[in-house]
Amino acid sequence: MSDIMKMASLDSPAAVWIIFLFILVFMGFLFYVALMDKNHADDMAAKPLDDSDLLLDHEIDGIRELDNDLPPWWIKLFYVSIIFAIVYMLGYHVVDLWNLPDAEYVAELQKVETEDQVKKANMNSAGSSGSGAASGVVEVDLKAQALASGKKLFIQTCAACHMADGGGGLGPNLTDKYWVHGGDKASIVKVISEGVPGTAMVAWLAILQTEEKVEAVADYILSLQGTTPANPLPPKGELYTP
Amino acid sequence: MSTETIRYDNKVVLHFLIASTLFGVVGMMVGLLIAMQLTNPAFNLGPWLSFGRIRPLHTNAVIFAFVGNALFMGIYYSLPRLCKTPMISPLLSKIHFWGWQAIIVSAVITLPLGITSGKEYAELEWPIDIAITLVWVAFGINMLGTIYKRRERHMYVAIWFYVASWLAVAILHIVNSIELPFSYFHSFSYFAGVQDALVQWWYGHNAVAFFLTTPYLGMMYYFLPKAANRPVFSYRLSIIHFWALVFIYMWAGPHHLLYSAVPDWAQSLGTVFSLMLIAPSWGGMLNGLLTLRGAWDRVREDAALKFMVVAITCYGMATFEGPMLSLKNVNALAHYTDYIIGHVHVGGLGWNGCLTFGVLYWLVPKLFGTKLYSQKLASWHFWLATLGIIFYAVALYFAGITQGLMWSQFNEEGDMLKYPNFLETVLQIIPMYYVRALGGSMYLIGALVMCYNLWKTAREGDFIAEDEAQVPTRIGALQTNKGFHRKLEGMALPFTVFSVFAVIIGGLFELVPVIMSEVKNPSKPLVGIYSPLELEGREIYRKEGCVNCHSQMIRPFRAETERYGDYAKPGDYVYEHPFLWGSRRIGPDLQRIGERPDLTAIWHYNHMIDPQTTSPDSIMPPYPWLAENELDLSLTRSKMRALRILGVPYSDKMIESALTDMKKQAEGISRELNKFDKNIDPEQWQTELIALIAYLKVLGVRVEEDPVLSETKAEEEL
Repeated sequence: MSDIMKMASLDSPAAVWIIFLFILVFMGFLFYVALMDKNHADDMAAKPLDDSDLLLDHEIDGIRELDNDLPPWWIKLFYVSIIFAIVYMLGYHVVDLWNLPDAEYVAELQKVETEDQVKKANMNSAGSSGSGAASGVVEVDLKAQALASGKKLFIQTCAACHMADGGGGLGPNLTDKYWVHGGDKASIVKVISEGVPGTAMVAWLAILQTEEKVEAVADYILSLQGTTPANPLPPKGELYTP
Repeated sequence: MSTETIRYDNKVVLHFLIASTLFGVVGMMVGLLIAMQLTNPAFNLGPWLSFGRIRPLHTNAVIFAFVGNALFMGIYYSLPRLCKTPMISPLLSKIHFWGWQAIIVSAVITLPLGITSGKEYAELEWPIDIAITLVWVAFGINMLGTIYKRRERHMYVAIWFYVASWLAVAILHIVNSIELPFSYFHSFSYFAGVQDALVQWWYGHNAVAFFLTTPYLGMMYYFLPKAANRPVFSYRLSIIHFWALVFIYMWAGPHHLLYSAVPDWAQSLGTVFSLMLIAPSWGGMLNGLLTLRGAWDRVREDAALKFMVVAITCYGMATFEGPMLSLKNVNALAHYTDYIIGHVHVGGLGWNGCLTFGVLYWLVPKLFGTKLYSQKLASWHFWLATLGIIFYAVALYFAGITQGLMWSQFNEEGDMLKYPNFLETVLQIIPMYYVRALGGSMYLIGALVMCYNLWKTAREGDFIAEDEAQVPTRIGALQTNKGFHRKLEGMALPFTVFSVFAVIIGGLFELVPVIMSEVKNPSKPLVGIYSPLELEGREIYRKEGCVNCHSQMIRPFRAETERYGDYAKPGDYVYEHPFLWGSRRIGPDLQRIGERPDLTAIWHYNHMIDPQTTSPDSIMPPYPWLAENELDLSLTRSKMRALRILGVPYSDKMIESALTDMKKQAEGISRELNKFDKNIDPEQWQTELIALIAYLKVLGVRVEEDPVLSETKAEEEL
């Protein structure tokens, strides 16, 4: 629950509140009905409702109809929704006040890009401001960034067969010390780049396109050494000790 | 005024009543089974009872068998009494009843066999579509004929709703069922991709409107004042909300397709017309609830009234929720999630279910000339149903919001999805699936309690096969001095013509431009045409009902393009007969799955045989039979020819060499698999699974030049 609330505040609060509003309205309806039930039941016992002056002169199969006015709030609701519709169509399609889906998407990407640039600029200014300690921080930062991009690629491309935690599935377990084709970084890079003929391991260099990406994945795989996956496959290959 | 004695036939009413309760219970049981399947895939009991095939059975059973029979019951009871004349043709009544039941039985047989058009709520194949049309026409002649022969000059509001419903459903069903058969039981949708989607959701949304809503409003206007013994609150409100509802409803379909590849203007129309539906819908709710003024003391005791109050309340709730879900930002979060399933069940269980129960509790004692057997059991039913709905809906609201948020969440650095593995977002909501199944069980138990109660009631009384009534020999004079609408109510034909205009305009304005623009200026294909083997694979995908859990429609959000690949454009779907966009992601979107190099043939093979081996704890059903079933090649060429008629550029040569091409492609896949000790005999390549893998490997792959077309061209040049 608290997790939901946390996510709610991060993502699209308007939408979430509208949805909570649904539940409130639903409860409100029930409450309203219960209240009507109680009050009216008591009222009716005392004084039966008399609206016979509003009865229309027709009757079908015993059913009569009253000539009550339309509830004013209901008419207003209808008018407001019609005005909303007109404003919405004009705003989106005539005066281009708001973004349609394609433009919305471009804007979303631009926003992320600008944020990225701001981040990078901050980092650069931190780096150029001089002291050795600061540049050390930047180096660590860059390393962490490379590892993060390796993780991202791993989850997108490797997890289908090796599982997201590296525990292995169609492909071997990557968290233990046993390797089928060698456990040093160069061997791992080679396997990723060229694939293993005769297995589901395809040559990823052609797909990922840059060696940096392959290396980032290899670094991330090495970082999995010694972790404990949920359903690890038994070790396969030869023991490798660095 | 001279009068004569006539008899109203109650037998056909009772027949529909029995069919409705019987199929209602069956439909709910199937619903419970599929709910259990989502908690644990072990409940997928073989091919005929796997989720993808019986989810349509559940929806068809509850919509067309339970609600359908109930609304016919209501109409056959109320219409003759409102018209002061018996139904014109007892024979047509019989044809209608038995024809409809035959259609239901054929659905029960064909859907588990995987015979499906692939279009939601219109899954039944072309011979059954024709049967539905014929039965619907029989019903229409019977109903309109009775109205024509009426002895009551002015038509009551219930009849307006019946007429509009009949007209609209006829139009919707015929247009959405335009399809090209290629065998006795199979066909391709005439429309492709974006057009097909727009037609389908114009139909789908208005099936909700004119099958589940307007006929039930008609029933409400008859049975509620009867049961409450109170006059209808406002005649004026009836007029305004009726016309507004039937006119506006037909425009709202595209709200099912927000952020999809259909044109923006159509999406916007879907949004604004949905918003404008709140007031007309609430007009019905108000007229219902306010009719009870002066009768609330009886609501406490009377089972029929109690259920009607819950029904109308849920109607108000669902018709508020619907427009809110049509807002772009709410839709972005809630679409494809269980929120929508919760929403439709507030309407289905609440409005349709409870109104049916209310009518039954009123009608059965009437038909058997006795009192309800047990008010206490009815009270138990009431609480089981009401609490069941709340458990059901609230569980899925939370499931939907949770999953929607998880899908769109990025990590703290903002460069990567927080939950890149789709499965995580599924496992998160499984506890909610248990709560949903609990709510559904309560509702089902309540329905069974009702069946027992009604059965005992019937046993205590004697069935009154015909009600006698004294009616005038001639129709009364037209009231011309009470305003235009009062006059119109007295003239059946002009009224019907007005209704036709009201329901047809929305469809004309939305569908015709989209269909015409595709004719004049077709979208450039972004993907290739399917090779014969891939085409057969797509047919397996359609047969197994994969579309019930997997969408093929990526929306233009960063969170989606990051997860699935580039978002959908009209050109991605030009060859898609029918479109398979889906409406729910119980599993991930598959539109660009062919572009995933990591999902190799062997991965797909293992995944289909037992999804848990590649995705631990996945709730996807296993499909071991696909590896054993021989692929039916006898219709491949007919399928290609049919698609060519619909505009897919298969050449004579391609159709000619289909079988050799298939063999070649399948052998390639078999070789891939045999590297992993699968030992597939190259002579035994024609399994359904091989075809499905071929399809999944090309699904959504964008191409500059069509590989299938260019290969044949090159061969021809040689």
